[in-house]
Formats: sequence, structure tokens, C-alpha cells
Amino acid sequence: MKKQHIYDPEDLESLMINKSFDELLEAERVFALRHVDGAHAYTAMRSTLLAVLAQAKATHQDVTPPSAQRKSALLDAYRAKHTAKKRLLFSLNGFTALFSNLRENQSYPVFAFTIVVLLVVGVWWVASDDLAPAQRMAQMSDRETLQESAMREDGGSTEVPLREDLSAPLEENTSALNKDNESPATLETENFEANYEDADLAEDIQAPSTDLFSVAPAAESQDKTSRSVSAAEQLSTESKSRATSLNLSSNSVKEMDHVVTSLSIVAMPAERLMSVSTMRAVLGEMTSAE
Amino acid sequence: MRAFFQPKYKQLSDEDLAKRSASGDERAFAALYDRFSKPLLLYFMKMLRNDRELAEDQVQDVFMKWVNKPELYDTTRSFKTWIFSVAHNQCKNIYRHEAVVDSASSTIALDLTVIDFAHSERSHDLDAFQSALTRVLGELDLDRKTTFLLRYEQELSIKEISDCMQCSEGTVKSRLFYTLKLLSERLGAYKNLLFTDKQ
Repeated sequence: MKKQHIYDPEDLESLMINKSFDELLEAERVFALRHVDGAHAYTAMRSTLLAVLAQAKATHQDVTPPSAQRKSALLDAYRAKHTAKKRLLFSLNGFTALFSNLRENQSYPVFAFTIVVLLVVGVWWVASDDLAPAQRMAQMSDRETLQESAMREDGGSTEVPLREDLSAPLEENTSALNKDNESPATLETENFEANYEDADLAEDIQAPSTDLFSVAPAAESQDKTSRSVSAAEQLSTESKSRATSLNLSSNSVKEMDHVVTSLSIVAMPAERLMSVSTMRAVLGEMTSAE
Repeated sequence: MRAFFQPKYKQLSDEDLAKRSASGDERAFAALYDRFSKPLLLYFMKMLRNDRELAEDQVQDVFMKWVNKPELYDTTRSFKTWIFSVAHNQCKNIYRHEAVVDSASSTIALDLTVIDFAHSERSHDLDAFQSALTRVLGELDLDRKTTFLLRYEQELSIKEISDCMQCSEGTVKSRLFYTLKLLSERLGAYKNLLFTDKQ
């Protein structure tokens, strides 16, 4: 069976490029003759077309690309354009450009003014601080170093406060200790005296030696514990006079001396002060021993 | 290491290069320029009477348009089509403002007569044919000339040309056929050269 060729009416170009008039099949020749006037016209057009294509190929090879200066000028323009874009994004103008819709509204001046005010206040706030952030960081690191060294010296048991903070907390601690130590001691003494009154041990009594009521030497070195010392002395004096008035025996007075001596612990330096619970325990032992 | 992750720009399609270029990739822009500067230069040279300086200026203008307003390019279209349509519009403007078409036509008609007789003895010379072809093409109206050059110089498809010139494919084929017919009639003086093919 003979192969049927179906051509697009405008496929003449491809026919001309690929085949001469003599090479055309019967159907192709009929198709070509519908558009051109004959074999001569077909051949003329085909030759022109082939010459045009050959000439185009030759021109492509001959012509050199545009000069390098033009390329570099274009690249500079391109770079400038895109660098400007990036810079715009990071500038204040770029920031406000994000809110460019506001410019069309009447609220834009208010918005701009608010941003400026916030910036000024922020700068003033940062500038008004005495210490620069770097100095503050240095001070914090110094404080940490001091604490670490103090912990190393004390076996890591206590925390050493800063030098400038030393005075105030120490007084507070001392007064707190005095409060803690005075009132329970007074209470214990009153209980003790009451017990002796109940026991009816009034006999002849010799005045107790003052050595027994002396204040512990460590207390003298600390001015801040002077209140505790005077409280202990006052307590011992009152105890002696009370014992004299009650005619307590010498043993009882000695025991009272022990009590007062233990109370004089209050006069020890603040670092060595016994806790109230320890004092109560001592008093309890002494009472049971009696 | 950086080069390892970077694409091979020569292998990227025109559209990929255009997207990268529009987003600030300088190398993509350079690759795009390398790919299209020469074809555009050829096109402008043919359209503007082989004036190379003027043609280079026009190529520069086309790329400056791309640099300044890349958003003008519709990414759904072929970049090649778009850039040649820009070039075509520039040629239109030149023709319109400088009245190049009218002045050139009269000159060409005169020169063509001269060529026919002066170069008849060396009609086999391809250079002579080329100059004659350029002058005959100069006689054509802008659309026919552009269609012909885009088809046979730039090797754009019929569809691409119709997109570029915003006309139907049938119109493109018709223009091509009648231009070829006119050329074959006008360049008959070169039949000795033209008929030396494998017929």
C-alpha cells in the first residue's frame, strides 16, 4: 500500500530546506506547486533560503560579542542596584519603608514621632546608667572570684559577703544574735532562780569569786559583741545578788557560776557564738547533773 | 566548597538564570548576558544597517531595562521571547523617531540597482550576496524584516516568533513565505551563486 503523506500547508519551508524539486514525492510536489509557480520558482526560493541560512551561520562565527567595557559597565550597574536594595533594608529608611502604607495615611507623622521619642528615651536610659555594661560584667566576675576564694578558705562551708556589704549585714546579724541570746538566756536564768527558790536551799553563802564571772577574753576583741558581754555581766551580777539575798549554798553558787559562765559564751565573737539550742542543751545537762 | 554547591550556570535554562538574576545573583546575570548579548547584537546589526556601535548601544539598553525593571518579565513566558520582543520594540522606536525606514528604503532601492550591475561579474562572492541581502531586507517593513531575522538568523521557532511579535503563527508563516519569495526575486542576479547547491 502506498504511504500517504499529509502536509501542513505552511510546511513548505522544511521541504525546501531538505529536498530539491526533483527529490520531492508526488504528493509533496503537488503540495509545493500549490504555493509556488513552478519548479523554477521552487528552486529559486530554495537556493535563497539555503544561502540565507549559510550566510547567517557565517555571520554568527564572524561577529564578536560586545566589548568587555560594556559588560563591566552593566555588571557595575547591576551590582549598584542590588547593593542599594540590601542597604535600604538595613537602614532606618528601609525600616520605615516596611510601613510605607502608613505614609499615605495621616497617622504616619505620629508613627515617625513615636519612633524618634522611643529612640531618644532608650539612648538616655542607657547613657544615664553609671556603669557601662562591660564594667558591670567585670564587677560581677570579681564578686564571683571573691566568693570562690572565701569558700576555699573556709572549706566551702560559708559564703563571704562583699567588702562593701560587710558592715551592714554583720551588725544586723549581731543584733539578731543578741536578741536570740539575751531573751532565752534571761528566761533560762529566771527559771533556774525560780527552781532554787522552790528548793529552799537558803543557807550561809560566801560571795562568789569574781573570776568566775569574768567575761571570755575573745569577747574583748570584738566591739560588736560588747552588748552581749554587758548583758552577760549584768545577768551574773543580778544572779549573785539574788543568790545572796536567797542565802544559797556555796555549791549552788558554783553551779550558778557555771551557768553564768556558759551564759558568757554569748559574749564570744559572733562567728563562735553558740546557738540558743546549744545553750539550752548545756543548761539542761547541768540541771540534770545537779 | 562553595563552588561545589553552586549550580553550573551554563547548564541552567534561560528562565532559571532570569529568576536568579532578578533576585540578585550576579553570576546568573553575567551568564545571561553571555548567552544573549551576541544574538542581540547580531539582530540589532541586521536591523540597523550593520551599525555596530548603535547595535551595541541597543544591546546595552535592553540589559539595562532588565537590570532596572526585572519585574517586567513574565516568568510564565520564554525569556528568549521576552528579550527579543524588547529588542523589537526598541527597533520600532528607532525607526519611528529617526524615520530610518523611509530614508533607508530610498537609498537601498538605488544601491540595489547599482549592485545588480556592478557585482554581476562576481556574483559567486558570498560577501556580495550578504550585502545585497542586507539591503533587500532593509526594503522590507519592520515586522517582515524582524520575522525573517528571528526565524533564520536567531533560529526562533514559529511559535516563539508569534509570542514575541504578538501575532498568530499563520501570520508568521505567511510573512516568512512572502519575504522569501521577494528575496528570491530580488536576488536573482546572484543565481549563479544561489544555484550551486546540490540540485
